[in-house]
Amino acid sequence: MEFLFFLQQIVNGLALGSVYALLAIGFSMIYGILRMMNFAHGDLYAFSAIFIGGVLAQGWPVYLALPLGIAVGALIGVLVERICYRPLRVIDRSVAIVSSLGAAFVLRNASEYLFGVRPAPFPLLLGQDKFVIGSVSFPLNALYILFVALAAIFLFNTFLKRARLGRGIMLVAQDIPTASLMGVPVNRTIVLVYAIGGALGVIGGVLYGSIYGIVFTDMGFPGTIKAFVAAIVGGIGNLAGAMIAGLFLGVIETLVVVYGGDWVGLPPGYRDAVAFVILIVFLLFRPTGLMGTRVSTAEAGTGASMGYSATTRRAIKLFGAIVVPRWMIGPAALLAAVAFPQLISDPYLLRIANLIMMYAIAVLGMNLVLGYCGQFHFGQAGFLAIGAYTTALLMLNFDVNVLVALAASGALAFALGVLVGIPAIRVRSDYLALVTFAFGEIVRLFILNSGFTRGPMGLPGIPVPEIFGFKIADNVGFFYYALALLVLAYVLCVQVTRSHIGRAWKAIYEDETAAEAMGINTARYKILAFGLSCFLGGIAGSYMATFSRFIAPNSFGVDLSVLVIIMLVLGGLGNLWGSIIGAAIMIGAVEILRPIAEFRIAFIGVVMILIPILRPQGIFSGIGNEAVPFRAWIERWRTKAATRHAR
Amino acid sequence: MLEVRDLATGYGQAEVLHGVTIAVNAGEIVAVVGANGAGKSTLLKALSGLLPARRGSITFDGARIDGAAPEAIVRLGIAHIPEGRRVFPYSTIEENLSAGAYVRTDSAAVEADREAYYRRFPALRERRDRLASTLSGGEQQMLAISRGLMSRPKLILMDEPSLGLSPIMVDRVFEIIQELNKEGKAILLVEQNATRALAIAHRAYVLVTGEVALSGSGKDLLGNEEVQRSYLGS
Ligand SMILES: Nc1ncnc2c1ncn2[C@@H]1O[C@H](COP(=O)(O)OP(=O)(O)OP(=O)(O)O)[C@@H](O)[C@H]1O
Ligand SMILES: [Mg+2]
Repeated sequence: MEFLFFLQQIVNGLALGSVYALLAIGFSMIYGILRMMNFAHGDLYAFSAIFIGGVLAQGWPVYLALPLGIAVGALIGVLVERICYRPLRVIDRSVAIVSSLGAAFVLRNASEYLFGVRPAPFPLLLGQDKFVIGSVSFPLNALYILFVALAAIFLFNTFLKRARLGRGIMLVAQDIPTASLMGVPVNRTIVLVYAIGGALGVIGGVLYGSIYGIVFTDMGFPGTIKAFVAAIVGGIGNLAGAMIAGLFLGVIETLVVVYGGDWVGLPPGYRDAVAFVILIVFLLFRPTGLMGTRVSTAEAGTGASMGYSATTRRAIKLFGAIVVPRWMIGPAALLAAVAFPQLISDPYLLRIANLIMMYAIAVLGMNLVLGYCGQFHFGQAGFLAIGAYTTALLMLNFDVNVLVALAASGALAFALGVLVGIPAIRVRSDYLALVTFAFGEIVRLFILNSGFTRGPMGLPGIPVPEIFGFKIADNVGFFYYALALLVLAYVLCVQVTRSHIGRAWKAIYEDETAAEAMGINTARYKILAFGLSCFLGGIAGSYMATFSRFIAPNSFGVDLSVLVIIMLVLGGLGNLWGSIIGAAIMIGAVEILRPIAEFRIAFIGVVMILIPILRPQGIFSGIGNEAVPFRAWIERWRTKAATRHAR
Repeated sequence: MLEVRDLATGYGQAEVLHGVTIAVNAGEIVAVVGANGAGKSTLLKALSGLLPARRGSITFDGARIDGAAPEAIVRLGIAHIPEGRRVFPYSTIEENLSAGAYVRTDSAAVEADREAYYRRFPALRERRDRLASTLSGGEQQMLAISRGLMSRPKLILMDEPSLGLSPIMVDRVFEIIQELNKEGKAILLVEQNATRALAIAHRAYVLVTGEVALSGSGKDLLGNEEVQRSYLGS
């Protein structure tokens, strides 16, 4: 009886896992072939599934709606390739991380706009028949789903092995220029990969709808993550591995939801954390995946050798660097900043200025780890959350002074940042992006599901801070508080980057192996970069808690981490001034776009797609002489990854 | 057969070839020699379409091919055997050979050609189901050459086929080049090993920082004092 119930859960898990398997195969294929993490993958699947649900609700017959939806998914895949990936291919494929995140945002916004935010019904296409043994009934549709997924995967695999186009895909996966010398039409093949990946994802979306009876926009991002985790665990580029890992993930998740509460008191809200934990464990202990890897160790293509595209050259000319005499900036800016609240009393503008400074602190932190040390860190939102919650909880529950709370927030963020930095010693840089990202999400899920944080309700009524007897109660007060923190953060960054630490980071950044050979303890410096970066994140978070007086977990989602990265890239990596300016531009843009708030996410997405294409070195790289052009940075990053591969 | 006029190309902002003019006639072995970084590989990449021409023209069998994509140029009958062999490491020997015949649809003849190369290089036949990455350097070079030939080219562009091989393998490679030439293939050979290349070439060009500095018959250049001094290390 107990066993039959367990078996039933396994069957349910396999059905969910089939969806993940289909998503993972497309993701793994695109990553394995092009080294591009297609962050838009899950949003594509959500969008198309909602689309199909809508078309079916209009009374279209299934045999028309499904092919149409699959075509839509394939078309979106092709568009992502054309807009986010192809213009960047000649510069560097990895920059496409940013622009594919942009595409994900655009798709999500489009889906919310076109289909609404509420879950849409989806017909149970595979029926609701059950197969009863004793008192336990097995859903037959789960078995059908497993069958459909396996059939789709089998067909696809046969295509890769036997068909001419499929063989072309395998060659492009190994070596793009050489494949083209063999006569494989590279561009068309890559488009095909995106189209097939999209189509498989849509099939997954249809199956999802058929299990749960609903589809919704928010299933997109978790979809990407599950696909990524399954692709990693299965070994990137290993399609059979991705499939098995997808099924495995579905089963584990289901078991955690069903039994987790009884066994370890885990609330079901942690379901999504399962994937992250598996991801981190795998990246740490078995970075080549469960099944090892077939394609990924081959250095795919050297498309980078072919120079920039004409469009990019034109764009670079058009947006030539803005040059400002350097010595004037510091004093002038500080003067202007101090005078600002005296001249401008408009509370709205002051509020925006405060927000800008808060973000700038977090961006400065990102700059240390990413711009100077060259380590990808995708989880700054988690550290803002840690800072914000530490401060809020201390002030609310223990009536602690704000400065003590600030110090505690910074210290805790630093300590956890050091923890997060430890994988950086072992994990390859593009995986590091995901580990840190997963950590950020775990923090958010932890806050969301814990009692002392009041879960989704958040913490209201954070007390008014008091510094040396002065109550900081209005925007002007917060302005000077933020300004002081920002100046301190800036000075800290300048000092650190000019010291031996900065030199060590630079050496690691340029060539890690050489840095090690020179006797630099790279592990220690990398961890320090993470610690300091997260420290500043915690400080910004602490400020955020007192400034907004109410915090809730949903403010610390992925969007926040991404926003911080955009600000950094916009201002230029390795450019401290740029970080402040990047924050100002993005916050300004978000405010200006308030009237068309429903398109805001799409706007951010478009910016993310455009920056790497138009100005890969960041907009303000002309200011400051330490600026590292984004492209050069990413190239070094890639060669490092490649040499590490080769070893 | 192949005529290149005033060809300029490069990477990003940097121009590497500044107006190169060369020709290959049917049945010829033509060598291109020059120091490291002279632009020899760049020249071959431009000829096979991997790099776009920025100026000048490339004509093959009377048709302009500058601006054509690599996959189109293979179909016209030019095979580029790249520097460093570039076999597909995670495909088997057999799959590598099939890859070379990607543009062909006559599967029976492809099969026959593959058998012919297996006869010529028995080491490949023995390992046909192994991954190409498991081959030795010399075997990989044989595979790369066979793979290039699988498209039945009229003109073969070879980039440093003897690089990193044992002396016996080097001999074998130059032997093969001459055999192929006897079978009627035209060959454009880029080599560091200038003495050996000039010795078998009908004609040759010396490339210096992206420009043709000297040209003549292989023997003439081999005897040329300046070439001796700069490239042959004597
Ligand atoms: N992918 C690339 N990106 C940028 N510059 C390149 C690239 N490949 C070559 N170059 C530059 O172009 C010039 C010519 O290089 P090329 O590879 O054609 O030389 P080569 O004559 O083949 O030399 P070698 O004998 O070492 O193979 C060199 O200065 C080189 O630095
Ligand atoms: Mg070369």
